[in-house]
Amino acid sequence: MADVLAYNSGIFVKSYGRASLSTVAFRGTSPSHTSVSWNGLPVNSPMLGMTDFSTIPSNFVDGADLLHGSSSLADNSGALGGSVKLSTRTPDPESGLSLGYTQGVGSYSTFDEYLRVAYGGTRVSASTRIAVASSANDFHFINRDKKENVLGPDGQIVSQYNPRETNRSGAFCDFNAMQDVTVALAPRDRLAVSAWVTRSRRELPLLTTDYSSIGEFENVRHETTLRAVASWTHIAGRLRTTARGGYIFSRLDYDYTRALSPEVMSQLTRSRSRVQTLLGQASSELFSSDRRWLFTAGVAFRQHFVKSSDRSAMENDMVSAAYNVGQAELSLDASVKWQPNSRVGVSLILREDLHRDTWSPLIPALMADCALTADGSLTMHTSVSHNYHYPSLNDLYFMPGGNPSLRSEHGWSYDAGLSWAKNLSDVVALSASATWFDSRIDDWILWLPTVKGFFSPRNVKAVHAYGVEANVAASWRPASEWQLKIDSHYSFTPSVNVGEPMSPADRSVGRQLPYIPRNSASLTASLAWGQWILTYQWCHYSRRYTMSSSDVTLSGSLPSYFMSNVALERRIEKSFADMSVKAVVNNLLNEEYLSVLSRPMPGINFEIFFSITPRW
Amino acid sequence: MKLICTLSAAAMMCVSTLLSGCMKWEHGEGVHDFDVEEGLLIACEGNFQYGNATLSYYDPATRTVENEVFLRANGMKLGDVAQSVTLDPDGKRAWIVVNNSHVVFAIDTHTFVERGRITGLPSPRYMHIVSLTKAYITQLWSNSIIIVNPSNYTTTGAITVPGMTVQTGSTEQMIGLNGYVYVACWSYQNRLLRIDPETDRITATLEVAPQPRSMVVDYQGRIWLLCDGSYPGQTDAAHLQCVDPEKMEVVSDYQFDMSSTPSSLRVDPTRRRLYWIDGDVWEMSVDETVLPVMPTIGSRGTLYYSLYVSPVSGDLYLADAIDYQQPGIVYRYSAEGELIDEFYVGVNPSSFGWIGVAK
Repeated sequence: MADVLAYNSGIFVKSYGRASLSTVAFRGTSPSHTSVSWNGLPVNSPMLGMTDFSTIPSNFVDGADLLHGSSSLADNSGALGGSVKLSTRTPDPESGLSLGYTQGVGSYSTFDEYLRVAYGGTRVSASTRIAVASSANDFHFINRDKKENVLGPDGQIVSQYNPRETNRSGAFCDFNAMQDVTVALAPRDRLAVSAWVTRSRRELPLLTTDYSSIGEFENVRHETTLRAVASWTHIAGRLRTTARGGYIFSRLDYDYTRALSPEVMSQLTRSRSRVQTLLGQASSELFSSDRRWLFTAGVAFRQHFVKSSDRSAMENDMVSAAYNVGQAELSLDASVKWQPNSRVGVSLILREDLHRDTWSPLIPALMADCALTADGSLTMHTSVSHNYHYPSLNDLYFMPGGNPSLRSEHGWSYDAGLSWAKNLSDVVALSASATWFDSRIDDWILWLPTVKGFFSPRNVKAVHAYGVEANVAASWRPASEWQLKIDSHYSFTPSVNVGEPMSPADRSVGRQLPYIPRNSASLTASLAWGQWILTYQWCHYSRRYTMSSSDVTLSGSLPSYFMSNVALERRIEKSFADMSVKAVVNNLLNEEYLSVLSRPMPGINFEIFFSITPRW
Repeated sequence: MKLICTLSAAAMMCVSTLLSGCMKWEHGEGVHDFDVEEGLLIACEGNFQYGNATLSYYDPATRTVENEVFLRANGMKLGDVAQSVTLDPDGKRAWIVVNNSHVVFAIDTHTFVERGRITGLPSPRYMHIVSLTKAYITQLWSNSIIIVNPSNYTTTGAITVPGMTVQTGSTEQMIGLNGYVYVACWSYQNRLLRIDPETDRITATLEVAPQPRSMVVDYQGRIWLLCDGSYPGQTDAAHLQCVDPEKMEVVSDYQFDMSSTPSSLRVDPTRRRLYWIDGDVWEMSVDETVLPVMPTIGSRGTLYYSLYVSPVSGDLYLADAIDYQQPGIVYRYSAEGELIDEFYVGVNPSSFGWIGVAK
């Protein structure tokens, strides 16, 4: 899913490596400021605050809505940058039984299997998906951060060279299963139930600066997550009511073992966390009789139970190094949308959150849009909001270092933009949009070292994030069998520390935040000819600083890079089945690049997918 | 035909843009030729798991600083978390312990060029040179001290510390005194070890205050220990303790307030004055009987991270990590507390070594 977002949006995807932690960030904010939901359930880890998109299979997502800035407040608070709404759907009614299977094989012993069985009946529709992905992930790369020594007969170094290394400890095996069922209880009542199970075993790759040898360590993360949600929707005239209940269980185990000698392996870290979340939600929408007004109101309740521990501490009865907390959250919201005429719309959202026994100040968002042309091809939109992002449970309670006195991050956001879309002829369609945004976020939380040797979070910064997001898309169908589509995105995202200097020598004030590129761009172009589809993907991130002072040093910043993939797909229609074969080349130009300092990335690599959908 | 031409032109534009925009690897092959005689080596930890540790060199005579000298001299990174600097007794090599890279580099102190490396180290912290053919390397998360041969960069053995589990094991700073090596056991520990380097056996153990981390020797040959104090499961204040190394007993014990977090114990060239950081910089005579009540150098919104006292001039080098995420600054003060110079180095400057004088 991380790759889908990287090549099809202007948001920043930060990857710690192939099949490693991948986070996304909107508008110059941090990954924890991106709220992610699936069928109304929160996906963000309540412990960490962020979402790892590398664990979400793209074929488990039927819809992905990106809500930038204020618009995210329609669903929940806390998304200072924006939110990603993922959804799955069941087949259309009476579409019958269908089956699809995809087998992928790729470089580095990578295998992808995906099966979907779906049924669309008169009242009941269901979809079952299973995906298994595994890889040795042992790609080779030239390690520019190290040199190997060539020794002379006397043991002296006579020359050095950058070694060609293998990505060590990068293997993974992910299993995902998802079940969606939709039942039409009555003509105006619909029940939807979804469950998603993830089990994964992932090794954590070594840094490029690590001189450990294979056999000296084991660094593994196991995850088991269950998400289940049931939604009931009732429509009565102009009133639509939705009630939702959900449950999330997540178990995350991390083990780090090192060889103290060739014979003795010792488990240095045995971290265990168990998170359970209960969710209840109800909302109603009511249209006025003239359909010019829409009123909504909702209430949501979440209860988290977290157990987090570390064995090295437990063995010595140092129970204070573990934490076991429950936390309740309540959110109330009300909104009104007014459309005085066909060209103007205004909406006001008000939210109030109860978090750790404290009510937040009123969280408002005001949005307006207007069609500037009679045909609606040119529209203008603008918004203003004040949002709060609450500290994660690790921020508050992690042992050692959690800081229960942390304040919420908060700030005002403004944006305004234009969108234009037009079919110029029967064969050419164009669209373009550009949005200016401006946010000021106070009490920005950072984890900083302490003199005790561990890290602890503090409210340390004020941040001014502003810039422009733009999108241009085109579709051209010059002949019946030909179609060219281009979708491009660009984001200019200065995200500047505007807080007070931490000391007289502090050079971070006025500088870009670490790991946020000022410029990012992506483009996806596809050319279809008959049963052939050629797809080209491209993305670019400008230099990312790793220091708060934006210093460009030899070892401390990441140069800009371009990345491109290409895929060629052939569809085959037979009487018994629809099939396709797709060949993909990733990192087409074999670029040596880094997304995160000292994390190796693969060069050119290949995948081939075969899909079949039988016809009954 | 028109379509093909258009597509071809678009494709060529894309390819030319891509080819011209490939990421340039910035530390490349080029190396810098250094030739220095005397000065200060400053190891900057960097950030954990960033692999951005660096080494800086400061010339006190010309007041000039050179940063990233390891990378510039060798064309490769120093690694992840540079922990400590140790000089050979003859001053020809400096040993840089890079904790989370699991390596110790030996570099030429004049050119900063690598002379050799020791690998296969689970979690190295400090190195102590015993002789031309023997050195000890302490470790975190381990109950053993590794024995190496510095002449050929090989591991030759280990000393297992009794009564220490692997998960909470820790051996930290070392000093050589009266033919023995004294080792402070730091994380989750509260012991001072005495090792006979002839036999590599622990000959005495002394229980001290929790988490002894830094230590120095005064003019009377006594060991001063600065202990962090509490750790999870153990509540105690930080302590400054003076140990008689012959009798292996604590001869004086000074307890700090519970809110104090002292670190970086140092001694002046006369070995009569102690210095440490506790928000401010504090100074105390080794003959004093109470802790000082007024700092020598006050904090100015600074985040003092480490301290070093020149063994030649007695100047104080005081490192400010600022926000832990940018190049730190080093303030150079005279022994009288006068600010002489200030210069930026790498991220989180933490340990120092003096080039040009034999120990």
